[in-house]
Amino acid sequence: MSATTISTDKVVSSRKMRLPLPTALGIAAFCAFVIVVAPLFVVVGAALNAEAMFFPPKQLTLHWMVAALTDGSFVNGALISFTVAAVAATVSTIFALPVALQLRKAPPTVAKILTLSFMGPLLVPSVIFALSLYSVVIYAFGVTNLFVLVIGHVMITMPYPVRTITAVTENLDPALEDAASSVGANPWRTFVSVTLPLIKPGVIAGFLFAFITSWNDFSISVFLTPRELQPLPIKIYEYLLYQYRPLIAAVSTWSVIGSAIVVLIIDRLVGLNVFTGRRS
Amino acid sequence: MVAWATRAPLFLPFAFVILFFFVPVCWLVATSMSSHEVGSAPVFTGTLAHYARFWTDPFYLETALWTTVKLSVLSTVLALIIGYVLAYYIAELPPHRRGFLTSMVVVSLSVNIVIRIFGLNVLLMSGGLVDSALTFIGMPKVRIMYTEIGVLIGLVQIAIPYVVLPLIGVIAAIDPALKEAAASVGANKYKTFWAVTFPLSLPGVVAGTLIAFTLNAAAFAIPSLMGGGRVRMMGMMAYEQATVQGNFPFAAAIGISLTILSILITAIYLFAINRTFRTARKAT
Repeated sequence: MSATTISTDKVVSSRKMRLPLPTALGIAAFCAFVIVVAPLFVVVGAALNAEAMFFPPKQLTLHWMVAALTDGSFVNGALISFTVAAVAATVSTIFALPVALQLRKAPPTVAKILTLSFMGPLLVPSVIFALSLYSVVIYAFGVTNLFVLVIGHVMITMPYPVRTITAVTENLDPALEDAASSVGANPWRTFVSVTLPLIKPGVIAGFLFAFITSWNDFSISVFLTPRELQPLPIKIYEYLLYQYRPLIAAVSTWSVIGSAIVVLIIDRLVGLNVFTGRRS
Repeated sequence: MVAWATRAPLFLPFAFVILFFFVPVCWLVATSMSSHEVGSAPVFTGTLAHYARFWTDPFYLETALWTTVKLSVLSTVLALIIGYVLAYYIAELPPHRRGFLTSMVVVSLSVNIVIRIFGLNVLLMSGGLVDSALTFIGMPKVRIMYTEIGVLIGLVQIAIPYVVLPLIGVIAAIDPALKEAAASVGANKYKTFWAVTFPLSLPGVVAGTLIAFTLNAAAFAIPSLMGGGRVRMMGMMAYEQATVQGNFPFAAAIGISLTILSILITAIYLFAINRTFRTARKAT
């Protein structure tokens, strides 16, 4: 099947060729692509199963997709995940703003210290960071709570807005800000009416990156989640440890749809280049 | 005054990172050198007993340390090979046709790791699609789930998008004139690839493999959901020691060992890349 899709594409692009054969690269790339997307299709397929879980499904039904939306426990988990992700992404984006803006102007030594303190957390595996935060919290309070979970999420999401905002500030003309302050605008005014509009794409991309990282996080949450307020990934994980039913596939399918929508929004707003690191 | 006003907003994020990152990590190091008694909080004594226990017991060395190093290095190499092929194909397409493939890779990356593992499990379980296909073409029945192979497949699948995305940008940015130049002096496609494209794509290779390796070395969800308790990696072991056994000092010692190990392997890797390509440049 790979061969046909790829070769028809080629026919469209260069009509001179008659009956083009798929290249070895094309076939290999198709296989790689299948490996990347297979789990997603399997989850969606399994959610449409009537009875037990199979892929491909034997008898189709939307029953589980509806059931997933009315299951209080999973809806609750999704709400907690959404709230934590929204709060964590907002805080980390606000924290990242001054850091990224200072990185641009700072003398080399200061810039080095800044990079090290804010990118340093990437050197330590997130499981280990979660373990250290967890052991402090358990020592100090005996239990963990939602507040600690948000702190953990802010920490692991912060490098993303720092990076995306730094990327846009590199192209920023300092003369514009100088012009604003020369006509008497104070630093805050300059920031709001000159700098912020110019770096907006980087800020939005950073926020969405942070949101998606938090929404998908597993290793931080598994340590820091309070028993009674579990985010969705942890709920799914605990469910999967003991049973496999189409309901969990349906819950997962809704989550996949949600992720796809966020990716679509990012694409519309700033383009997918933010992911591939290319500046348009 | 103005300098102060622009730097003041930095105070909050700085305090945050110090308080909630550097302090806890230092705390973890201290915990790893504390005595452990069941039912009471760790007391700092400066002991290295927990490290000695991990680094001398053949049980931990073989089951945890060796499994972790082997699986994380192997999965990074495999993810690089598979990811490179896909990234190369996407980057060679005209820009307006890269969208669909790129966005599917991004969607895959942005779907929760637990859900992707779940999909893989359904695919790989006995009686699943892969199992049936292997039986259909007459292969002997092999167990994939709950084995090292299963965990390896999981690690590779999760890591591929992290390798593909930075590579697309880097490969697409290579000036086509360079390839034409190589072709004009008689280099065939393979020679051109190894002499021009691959060396120029190294920044992307390094960026992607570093993320993939760091993630996989500390993998936790994959061995615990796909290993069925049989494949033990260090991240998972640290979690069990802390939350199930309540042995924080030993968990901390495993965690710190894992961090040092992952930084060490990263450093060796970067050093090797640097050296290989500096000598290559000298030779030409």
